[in-house]
Amino acid sequence: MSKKIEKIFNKCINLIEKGYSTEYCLKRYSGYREELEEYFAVAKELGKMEEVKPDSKYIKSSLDKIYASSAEAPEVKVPDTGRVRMGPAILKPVLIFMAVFILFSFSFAGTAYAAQDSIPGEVLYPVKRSAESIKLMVYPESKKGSLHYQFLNNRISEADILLETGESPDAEIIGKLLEEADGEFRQCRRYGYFNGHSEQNIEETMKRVRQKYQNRCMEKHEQKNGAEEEKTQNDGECFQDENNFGNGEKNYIDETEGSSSGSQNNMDNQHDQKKYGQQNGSHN
Amino acid sequence: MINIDSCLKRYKDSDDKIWFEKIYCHYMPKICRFYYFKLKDRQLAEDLTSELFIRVYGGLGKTSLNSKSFSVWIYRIANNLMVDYFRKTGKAVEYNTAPEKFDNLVQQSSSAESYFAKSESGFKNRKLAAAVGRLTELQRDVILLKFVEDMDYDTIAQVLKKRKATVRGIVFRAMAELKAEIKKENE
Repeated sequence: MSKKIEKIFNKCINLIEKGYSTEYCLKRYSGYREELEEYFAVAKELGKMEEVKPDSKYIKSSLDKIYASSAEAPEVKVPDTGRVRMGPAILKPVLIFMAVFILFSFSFAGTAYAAQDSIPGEVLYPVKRSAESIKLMVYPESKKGSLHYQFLNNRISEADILLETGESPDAEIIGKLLEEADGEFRQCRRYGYFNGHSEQNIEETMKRVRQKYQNRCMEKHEQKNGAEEEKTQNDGECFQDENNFGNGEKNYIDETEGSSSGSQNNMDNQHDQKKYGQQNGSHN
Repeated sequence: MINIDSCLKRYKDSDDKIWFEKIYCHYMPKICRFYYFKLKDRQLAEDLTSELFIRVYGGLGKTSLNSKSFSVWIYRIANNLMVDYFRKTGKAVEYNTAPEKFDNLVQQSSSAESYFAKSESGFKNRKLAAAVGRLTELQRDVILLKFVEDMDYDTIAQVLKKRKATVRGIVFRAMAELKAEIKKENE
């Protein structure tokens, strides 16, 4: 009810602003006549606070004061057009959004700068990769070749750092980095970024890192095999010490464990060699 | 009836004080009443009115305003001046005016040179005056501009830097409160 009367009251005010009389409004909304009459009575009483015309003596003295003081008056902000804009009310949310956007952009740019030298496994590494993806989206086609070349160098150096510094580098991560490096290499070719010399150089670097990776993997497998063989021998000695208890079973276990671990190692080696072969093949 | 548009244009073209004086005579009583309504202090209302016209006189030649935008401009300056005054002095305005207190204020005499000393201004309906005194500051401003100064919603929205729909809502709520207060007093 209150909402309805508010709506009708505002409609009446609009009509009065357009020059219609209160009587016209009361007739038009006769269903609400009683209530509207009460509102109009209050409005009429408020309008009775009339201005009183000042006398000429007062006007003269105050005007003299204005002319005398105007030279020392502080400058007032002057609207230069006839239209007073409603700017601030509309611009406020836009300005807030822009400020927040700029703040986020700067903080992201700062973090991205700090993440430049990060390697996989570090907190800032995802930021580095996100920044690369954004760059790729934003840069024009003509600059994408140099961008892919930069990413290629990044991947190679990341793999190299992991191989050099990591005590037990995760083969899967390095393998993935090298695969990505291959992808970037192909993109560089696609954009025609290489000249003969730089292509050869980068290929050599990639080969060197890949060789290092293979050697590292081989070392790891050998270490693993050595440790398992040692374990098997120890287990055997242990069973022999126990007065030949469960000998048949022991042999059976030894054989199966040996054969299963052996076949697993073979599979791993085959898998690794296949993987390197693929990488070499794609590279070549 | 004075044509403010024509006075503004002629003052800008000729820089003749007579056009400023016409504008002054039209707006001075309104602004004085505006301050008095808000401050309930005759001397302060007069002082602030003089200060306002000193500023308007300094800036008027540089503007190309029409009567409506001039109205918005002058009332914005009026509001800002009042805010500045209270910021400088650190005083707070006491708005909640009981009927007997309002009577005292109306009867209060001012200096001999005072404009209000020679004229009677204020609500004759004391109950209404007291009810207006109990409204919030924003409601009082909107009621003053709408029903005393007879401004349209659009101009009020620009003076108070509010949305038109907000002004409409404030007017209705203030009117509903005034209606209820007067009804209660009459019972």
